Amino acid sequence: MPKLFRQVFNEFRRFGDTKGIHIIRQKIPSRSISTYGTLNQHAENKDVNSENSLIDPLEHHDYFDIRKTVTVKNLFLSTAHYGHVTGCRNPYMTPYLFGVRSGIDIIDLEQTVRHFQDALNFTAHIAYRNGIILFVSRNKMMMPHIEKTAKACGEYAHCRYWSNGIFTDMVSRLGQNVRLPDLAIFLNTQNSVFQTHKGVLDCAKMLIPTIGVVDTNCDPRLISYPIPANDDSFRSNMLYLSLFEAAIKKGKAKRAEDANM
Amino acid sequence: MAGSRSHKVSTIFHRVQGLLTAEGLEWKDRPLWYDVMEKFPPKTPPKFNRPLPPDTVKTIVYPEDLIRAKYFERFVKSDFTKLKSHIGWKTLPQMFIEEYVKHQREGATVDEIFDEVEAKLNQDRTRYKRYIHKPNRSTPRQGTVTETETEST
Repeated sequence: MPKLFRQVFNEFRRFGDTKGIHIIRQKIPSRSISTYGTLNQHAENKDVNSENSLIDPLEHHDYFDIRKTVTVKNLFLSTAHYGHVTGCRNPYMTPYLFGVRSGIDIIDLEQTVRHFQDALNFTAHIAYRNGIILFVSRNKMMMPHIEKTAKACGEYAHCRYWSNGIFTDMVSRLGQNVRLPDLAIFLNTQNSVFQTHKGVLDCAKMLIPTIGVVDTNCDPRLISYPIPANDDSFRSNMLYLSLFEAAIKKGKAKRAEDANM
Repeated sequence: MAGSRSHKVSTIFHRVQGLLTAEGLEWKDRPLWYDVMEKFPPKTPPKFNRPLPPDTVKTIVYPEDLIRAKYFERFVKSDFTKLKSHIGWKTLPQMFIEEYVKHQREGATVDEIFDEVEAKLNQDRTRYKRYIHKPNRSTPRQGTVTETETEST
């Protein structure tokens, strides 16, 4: 059975020299998911691929090399900056706006890039930890594409009607307890024109982090990693899907790489 | 997994943290995302109860917008925006305005430059011939009676 790099690291810590190791949270006895010890190195200025690969991924700012995939130009060419008419604006979206051009809200793409990078990094980390990722949307136009993407990267999608209690009342809905996802990616956070998707609320209840593409008429409050961008355009949606797919695939590839190390 | 379902209270991270500190949840049973979110927290904590942000959004106005306004006073909007690929594509008004900026000089009135640009572009491209002058709506329509006339009669 291939060892995870964490197991290798634990052995190293147990039997090897512990001089260069900085340990946090010594009181906590057991851990199954992540390391709490890290090598005492300045990991942020180094290229992980060429240098020491025994670095804790969480200590690196961009472990999956994913942040460069999002650029302002990329987003602009796919019309991600277009918002809705000013009258439709959700007041909580004002900090993400660049301005109003002839009655239409324009989203600040520099902020979008930063939010998108964080979201992709988080996605890749969840994929790296073998978490379950669920794509959610109620956009009929994008439904086949989202399902295809989810299939391509070995994850799940829910693009149909969201019935109440699918997360909160599983036993009566599905007949048994089901493992919930570790991350939900909402490519459209609206259920109808005026309602927020019920899934956003359910995820917040069940302690599932969410990533959501929020347009200017959406409520970004309950979404952990909101991405202020246009969620109606086909072209921009395809761009988001490709980015998320790349992030998940990179996370999984890194996991396999570290396991074979 | 144990956890509070009150989604309006604080954030998901804070709720899990509370459970861990109160020993309602063991450290080994913490959610998979917990360490990642601790290391890479969201830019704004996803709280439901938060104050309204200030409603200050600027309007985007360019210096050539005055020319654009004049343009739409004069000409009918005769072309469309290409949404499929707008790389290297310019709308007719945009081409007109760019040409106008090149012709701009001191001592020339707006109407003069407009005529020049129109003549030039019509020479270059045939599609500019389609422009039609709008009827001037500021003048009263024929048959309407103004107030002064009603007073005199």
